[in-house]
Parts: sequence; C-alpha cells; structure tokens
Amino acid sequence: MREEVQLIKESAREFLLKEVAGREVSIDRNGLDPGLLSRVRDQGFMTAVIPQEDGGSGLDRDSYLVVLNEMAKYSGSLAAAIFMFNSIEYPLIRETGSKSLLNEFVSSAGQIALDCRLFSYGGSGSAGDLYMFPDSRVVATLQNDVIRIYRKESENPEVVSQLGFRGIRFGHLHGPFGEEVGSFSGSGKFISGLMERTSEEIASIVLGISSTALAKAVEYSKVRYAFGSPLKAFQPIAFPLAMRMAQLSILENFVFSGSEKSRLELIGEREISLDFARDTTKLALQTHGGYGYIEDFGVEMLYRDALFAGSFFWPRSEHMRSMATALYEDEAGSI
Amino acid sequence: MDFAMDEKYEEHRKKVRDFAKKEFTEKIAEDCDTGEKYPEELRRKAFEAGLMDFTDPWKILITIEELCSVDESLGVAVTTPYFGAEVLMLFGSDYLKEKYLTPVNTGKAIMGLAVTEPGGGSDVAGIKTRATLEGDHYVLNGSKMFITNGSIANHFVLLARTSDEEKKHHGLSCFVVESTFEGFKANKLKGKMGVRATDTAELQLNNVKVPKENLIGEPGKGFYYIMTFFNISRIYVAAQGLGVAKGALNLSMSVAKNMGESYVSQESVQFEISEMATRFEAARLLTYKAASFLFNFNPNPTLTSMAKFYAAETAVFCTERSVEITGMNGVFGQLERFLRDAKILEIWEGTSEVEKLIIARNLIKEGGVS
Repeated sequence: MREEVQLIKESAREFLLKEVAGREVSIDRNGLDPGLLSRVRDQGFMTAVIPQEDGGSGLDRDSYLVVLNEMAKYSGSLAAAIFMFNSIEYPLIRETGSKSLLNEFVSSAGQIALDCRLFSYGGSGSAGDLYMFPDSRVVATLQNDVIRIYRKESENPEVVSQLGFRGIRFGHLHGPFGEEVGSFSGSGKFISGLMERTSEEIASIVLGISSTALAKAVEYSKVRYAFGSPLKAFQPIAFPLAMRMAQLSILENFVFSGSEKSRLELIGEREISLDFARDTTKLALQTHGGYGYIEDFGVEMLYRDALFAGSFFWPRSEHMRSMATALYEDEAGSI
Repeated sequence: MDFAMDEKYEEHRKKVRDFAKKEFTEKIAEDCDTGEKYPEELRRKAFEAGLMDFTDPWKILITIEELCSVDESLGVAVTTPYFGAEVLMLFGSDYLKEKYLTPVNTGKAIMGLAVTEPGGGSDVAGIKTRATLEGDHYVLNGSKMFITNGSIANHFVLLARTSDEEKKHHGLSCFVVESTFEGFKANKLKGKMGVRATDTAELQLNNVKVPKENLIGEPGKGFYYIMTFFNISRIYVAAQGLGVAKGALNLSMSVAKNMGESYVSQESVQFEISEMATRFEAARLLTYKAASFLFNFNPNPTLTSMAKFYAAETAVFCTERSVEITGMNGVFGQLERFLRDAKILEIWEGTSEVEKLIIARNLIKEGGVS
C-alpha cells in the first residue's frame, strides 16, 4: 500500500475510533445522525473521490477504496452513505451538465432522494415510489429512460424497513415534486456504466464488513467455552474461520493492490467478494450461536448488510452478463 | 413405497393453508415483527381452528410446514404454546399431566421448555442450574437463556442438576416450574434478528421452591428425557424449515414474474429457482422419512438430525437465493423477513454443528449408512 494511501487509512480509522466505535448498533437502529454526517463532511470523507475542481477532496481511487473499507468495518450504513454520494449521486448530478447544481450539491454534501428503480432490473419491479434518502430536499426520479432532478418541499415520507444498511432511510414519496432543476436521457446506458464502475467500491465495502465479522468470530471463539474447551479448540469452528481469514487476506491484497485490473477482474472481484461476505458473515453469526441472533452483539447486522449489498445494487444476473461480455469481448449471456 | 399422502392429510394441509392465508395478514406479520409482539389473538384462533391435533403427529408436522410457509414467525408463535409438552406426555405422572397438560391442551395455558443456559447451548450436559432437595420440595437456583415463551408461559419443563455424577449427564433431572413461583423471574429478550413474533426470554431462578411432585419421572434421567424430546422437536423444526423454504421460493417466483417476462425468462434466474425447488423436495423427503420412523415409534436419531440440519440449511439457502434473484425487490418487505426469520433454524434445537456430530458419531458406531 502506498504511503499516502496508508495515511488516509489511518486517518479514517482514527476518525472512526473517535466517532463511531461503540455506536455501530445504535446507528443501525436509529439511523445516521446529522451530527455524525456533518463531521464526516468536515473531514472530507463525504466528498472523498470528487475532484477538487468540483469542490471535493480529490482523493485518488486507491485511497477512496480504503476509506470505504475502513468505514464499513465500523458501519456498513456509513460506508454506503459515502459510496452513494461519491459514486452514484455525484456522477448523476454531473451528467445533467449543470455546473451550478453540481457546485450546490458538492458544497452542501447533502444526499439526494434517489428513485430506487435506478437499481432495479431495467427500472422494473415493485419499487414504484420507493426512494433512498427520502428526506432530502433534492430528488432524482427515473421515468421512461429520463432521469430528472427536482427540488422538493419537505414531506413526511412513509418510511419502510429494509434488510440492511438500516442507518440509511428508505421511504415512499408520491410527487409531483417542485421545480425541475436538471435532467438527462439515456438512463439505461448511464446506469449500466454506474453498475460496472462501482464494482470495486462494493467489493471494498463488503470486505470491510467481512473483516469485522471475522474478527468478532475469532475473538468470541477464544472466550466462549463448550464441552469444557474454548470454541477455537473445535475443528468445525477453527478450520472455517482460518480458511476465511486466509481468503480475506488474499481478496484484500487483490482489491487494494492498486494494480491495473482487467474488466473481467473488476466485475469479478465484486461478485467474489459478495459471495465471500455472505458466507463469512453467516459463519460469524453461526459461531456466536443464539447470541449472534441478537442485535446487541452486532453480528447479525453484518450478515444483513452483506446480503443487502449483494442484492440492492442491481440483480446478480445483470452483473454476470457484464462479466460474460467482458470474457468474450462481445455480447454474451443474454438468454 | 408410496409418496402420496393420505387424502385426509391433503385436506388438513388445505385447511391450514386457508387459515394461514386468511389470518396471517401482512399487516399482522409486519406489526408483530416491528413491534416484537406475541400474536395472542392468532394463538387463540389457531387453537379454536384445531390446527394442532396431538392425536396425529403427521397433522402437526403439516400444520407447522404450512403455517411457516406463510410466515415463520407467526407460524412458530402459534404452534409453540405446547413446547415441551412431549416430555410431560411421555414421562410425567398422571398428576402432572392433569395439572399442567390439560390447561395447555384446552388452550388455557402456555408452556415452555427451559434447557439452554447463558454459558452453554449445545453442551446440554454442562448446565449449571441446580436443584437441591429440601424436605418436600426442591430449591432451584440458576438461570436459563433464549427460552421460547419465556415471558408468557404459565409453566416450564426445566432441566436442572440434582447430583454431581462422574458422567455429567447422569446428574440431571426435569421439573415443572410455574412462572408464579416465588423467586422466578423472566426478562424478555428484545432485538432478535427475526422470529420477532415469538417470545424469548432469560429466566432467573433465585431459591425457587418447587414441590417434590413436580419432578418429572426419575431423578437423574433428565438428560435422557430431553434428548428424547429433541428427537421429536427436531422433526418439527425441520418442518419449520420446509415451510420457510417453500414460502420463500414461491414468493420469489411471484416477485420475479412481476419484474417482467424478460427477467424471469433468463436462464440464470430459472436455474436458481430449479436449485431451490430441488433442495426443497430433497429436504421434504428426508424430513418425512425421519418423521415416519418417529411417528411409527421407531425413532432414528441419525435421520432426525439429518432432516433438521438439511431442512434448516435449505431454508437459509432458499431465502438467501430468493433475495438475490429478486434484487432490490427482495430486500424490503416479506422476503427480507423470510430471510431474517430463517437463520434461527440453524441454531435452535441443536445447531447444525451439533446435528452433524450426532450424525457422524451414530454412523461411525453403526458402521455407516444402511
């Protein structure tokens, strides 16, 4: 890891130890509070990878991935909020071509209410009027291949509960919204571009979640006794944990290598990391037994977050089609 | 060999399914989930509908499977007021049966089974709650953890240590402990990942006086009684798993269809559906086979553990895959609840690891599979 990336990593960890450590479950239960988000903005993490000329922190991509990974070790929701701002909302606003809107967006570092159809299969499904960050004053909607940005009045959205990243609110908004401040057509191409470009970010987030899950399981297996021995003495506990730790190390070395990756590798690391995260967080929960099933222990949250990350950001078949197309360098896997 | 079920069971299945579809509304399921509320009204209705027919264990299995296919949390909540009853049925005195089983069987009382302790779930023989005989009563001290119906049950079948034998499992005995006994306290556990309509509590026993006649069967035989019970209850947990797997699979197919013909016609999506359905059928065959041994008074603990382990794993597999193939549509609402509810199946009534140990040890002793 380059020295400057290492410094960013340490800076993120220092921030997390001070601001988030010990509050992980509370954030999941009660949401990301404005005070914390304000401090995240002050530290420059919220605009991490946005270029300085657009008012962002201007970190390079390797540093950004490390920031997401560190954040996810403490709060998947916080990592997801930063990811959404940098990797989804910023490109979306930039695509409208409105410089003033972009300046306003980056300087306020406030989230946009996002139409969840942006993440569904071809804008389909039951998402309807479901929005991420429904309390925001700016809203992005998807209608007939056109993404439109509106200002909206304050509205009390009907909040819905979700599997993971519960620190982020989702709710129903009904529109019509207020003044339209930007739009662009060709959403299909834009979304498929986003889907592919965010593979590394998703991998970084779920590897962070997995890292915490494994650390918790390893610690628990040292102190928890059954049949007169610590859990770590038993092969069905120690062997899979050791295997997962080795796999995590190998995955981290690849994802954070800073080396150039092929298109197939970029998309593939997301899918491999998601499978790894699902199975690792489940193993951590299982290692904790009944205690893992209780929110207070903060283990079940990791499993939920990993599964949410794997399902919310576009269906797997879409990612697999991109991978197949990367493999054949031609349209593939369409049937 | 005939895999078709008797017509009376298909009729029973339909009756239960109709009940669940009518009574297990999404609103009730969601309210009980978010509010962590026990569905007392539903329990009463399920009892009045005669869904738990103890004269026929196949009907109980079908009831559990069908109810859990609509909502595991509500299904478990309304089928566990009898939890632990088999210990009393098989080993309790006539006095205990009359006093404690009759009110449960007539819907007037709820019972529970208290075995797990804060320091050990899988290690049943290692429990520390102690019962000391003092004149005409036992005095119980200790605590129990993750007890289903813990804060709502009227009485419990409770396992405690009555002597310190060289072989730890020889010194355990079962008692009926009423929740109104002095020194008994239940603290409801909140914040479970799923099955939040079920009541779960930590029990504290501080010098609880239990009449001598509340000892179930013989002293020192408690471990054997509980293991016998697990050989029954694990079949029913497997049935919970079948219900969850089936419910998640069918729901995800419906959601995928709503995502459009072009989505559900993708072969990668169809292959996931095929894999889920095949695993479900395999789990059902295994569960019904294990059940047929048990219900014919010839229990096969190896098959029972296989059924419990595999059905639970299948439930988790199907819920995970269901959420994955439905993308963002699966992470909200009913499917995400199915997923949260499913994971407990790999933990309660013996973790998957414990089941695998039982299977392997039995097979090694018996020289392999028949």
